[in-house]
Amino acid sequence: MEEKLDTTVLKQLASIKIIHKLYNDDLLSDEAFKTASSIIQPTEHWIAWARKMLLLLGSSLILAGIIFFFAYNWSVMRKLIKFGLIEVGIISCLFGSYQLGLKKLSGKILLLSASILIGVFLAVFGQTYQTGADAFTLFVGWSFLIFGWVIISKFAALWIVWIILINTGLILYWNQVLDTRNSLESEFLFMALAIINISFLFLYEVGNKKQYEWLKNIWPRGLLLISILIYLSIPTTKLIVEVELEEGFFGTLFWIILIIFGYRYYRFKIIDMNSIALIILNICVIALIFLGRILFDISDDGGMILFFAFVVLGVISTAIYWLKNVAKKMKNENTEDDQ
Amino acid sequence: MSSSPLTIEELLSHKDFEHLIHPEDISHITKKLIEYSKPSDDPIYIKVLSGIGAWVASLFIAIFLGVTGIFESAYGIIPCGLVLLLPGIFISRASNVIFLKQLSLAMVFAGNAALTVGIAILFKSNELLAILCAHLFICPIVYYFYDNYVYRYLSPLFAVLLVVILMMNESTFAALHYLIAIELILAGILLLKKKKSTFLNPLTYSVATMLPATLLFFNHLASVNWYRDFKEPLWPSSILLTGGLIYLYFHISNGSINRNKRLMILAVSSTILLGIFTTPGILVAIALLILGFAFGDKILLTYAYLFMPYFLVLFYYSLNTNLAHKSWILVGSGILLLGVRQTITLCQRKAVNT
Repeated sequence: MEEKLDTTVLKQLASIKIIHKLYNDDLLSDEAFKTASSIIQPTEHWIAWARKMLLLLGSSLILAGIIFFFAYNWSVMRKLIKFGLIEVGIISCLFGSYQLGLKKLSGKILLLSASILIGVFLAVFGQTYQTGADAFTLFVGWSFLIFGWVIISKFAALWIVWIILINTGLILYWNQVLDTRNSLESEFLFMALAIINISFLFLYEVGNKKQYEWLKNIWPRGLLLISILIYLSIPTTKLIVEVELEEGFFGTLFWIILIIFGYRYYRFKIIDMNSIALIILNICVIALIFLGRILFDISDDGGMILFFAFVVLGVISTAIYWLKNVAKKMKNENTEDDQ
Repeated sequence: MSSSPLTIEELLSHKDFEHLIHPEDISHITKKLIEYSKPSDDPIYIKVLSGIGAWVASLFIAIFLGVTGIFESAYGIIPCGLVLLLPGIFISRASNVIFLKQLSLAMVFAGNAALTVGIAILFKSNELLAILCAHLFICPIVYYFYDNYVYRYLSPLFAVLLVVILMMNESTFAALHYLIAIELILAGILLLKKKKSTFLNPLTYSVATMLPATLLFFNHLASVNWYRDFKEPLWPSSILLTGGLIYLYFHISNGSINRNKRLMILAVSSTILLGIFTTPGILVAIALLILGFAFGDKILLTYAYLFMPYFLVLFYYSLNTNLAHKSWILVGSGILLLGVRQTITLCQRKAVNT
């Protein structure tokens, strides 16, 4: 009796990757392959893609050129010309963005360009009028001024730029104001940065869950998660290496809470293997630092070096086994849900 | 033109396609698609984790061997290398246990390095060349017998690294263009093959990495000027890569040149101009971008997105002019690209109207 095949696989989108795979496996003739490729990737798709790439590259180069221009000329240019040119640039970008509309990529890129030029304006302002203000005021002011545009843009790249400004502003504020007063340990800086980025990550996940078109790409999640893990790994590593509870204890506690919560969130709520893998990799790094600290305190002879090699293999193997297990369970859960 | 994406079912019943496959082929295709949905290969994060873990472990194994004094003579290192390499390959074939797979990778890394260095020490006159020759001898043999993606990806890269170190040591930088030519030919053969085999897949991605990485390194030498002996012009590589990129356009267009003559002329002339005025790395990044899109390959696209900005920054940094001129060149380049974009739009509208 012929086996009944599950034809739901035919309902998936036909991608060029699948066509190549079928061709590699001799399931399509040369002519069928060529025809399928031209149906899935007609010339129009190539043209649309090429136009998108040229737009991204062209606008990046123009923006970079403008920044270089001001970097070179600011000392000799008259104030009126300096500010006038930047303001004309900002207004032109805003006008262009308005005309094209924020539904188009070109409109969003013009708004991003205007946002970058606000920073250029503030930098030139600071240089011209030497107020003696700390550098953090530039970044804080910049992020405040462009906040409205960030909200209306529905553009992940602009949000990431804005988040970078917030992070930079906070780091500079810490170094230039708080640290000089020796009032707080540096682990609180990393905790504050992590809290800020966790808030944005949460907002991203809410938007992603509601299936907002502009949040369908997953790269912002990866970027934010990596930054959070790095921020909290710093005080944790410091605690392990220096073993001084005054510095690093709360950061480490926060790291542990984040790892537990983050793992559960991406395992059971969002179900994203890439995020789980990042968390597991972070755990491996911290675990190896911890184990290395203990073992090499006991002895640092050749035998311990060899033993540590096996410890590394053991930790990584455990991580891989865990990840494969989780992937399998998630797949089974998906299959049960579909049934 | 279909503006919304098609499902496989819709493709199979498309009027231009349905006569090209037999009805019984549809069941074979369905079976294959079910197979594809069950991943046979480890996902990339597993490979990365595995590679990092094994590499770190192999370093500690090598340090341990160094501490024991085995590395003091070739007669100690070579047997040590074989003792690590051969059992490492055997363990990988005999077991599917994750820890043993990891151990085998670490042993093969350490064994390969030990064997290569051991053979080289026997030839005291030119150790670097001997290391390179030894690795070029060992790598294909281990590649054939050791079915591990990470080793097969990293080992050819290590060979290229040795070639570069040798070039730096001997200051024979003219050989760079021969290296680029070999990498380009390999890339062309592997990436443009009609049918790709899983056996050569790691080597394909290795070559896709080594070509831009080699150019990046030498671009750095030329631009940043921290290595004063490097005075080799990069234009021969530019010529090679310009030719390669133009060949790629014709290969990808699959014979539809007559319908897209204007676009092809625009693409070829832009490429020639890029070859003349910019760095060869930018041409490679464009090639990776095109190949990534043509094959739906996210890895190649990622390479392109990573290397392109870096090559652009290096190019403009190295321009022998002041910031003011650089800014005009940047703005001019940007306007040129937007102009090309507009030209493409106009060509397309004309083609649609006719």
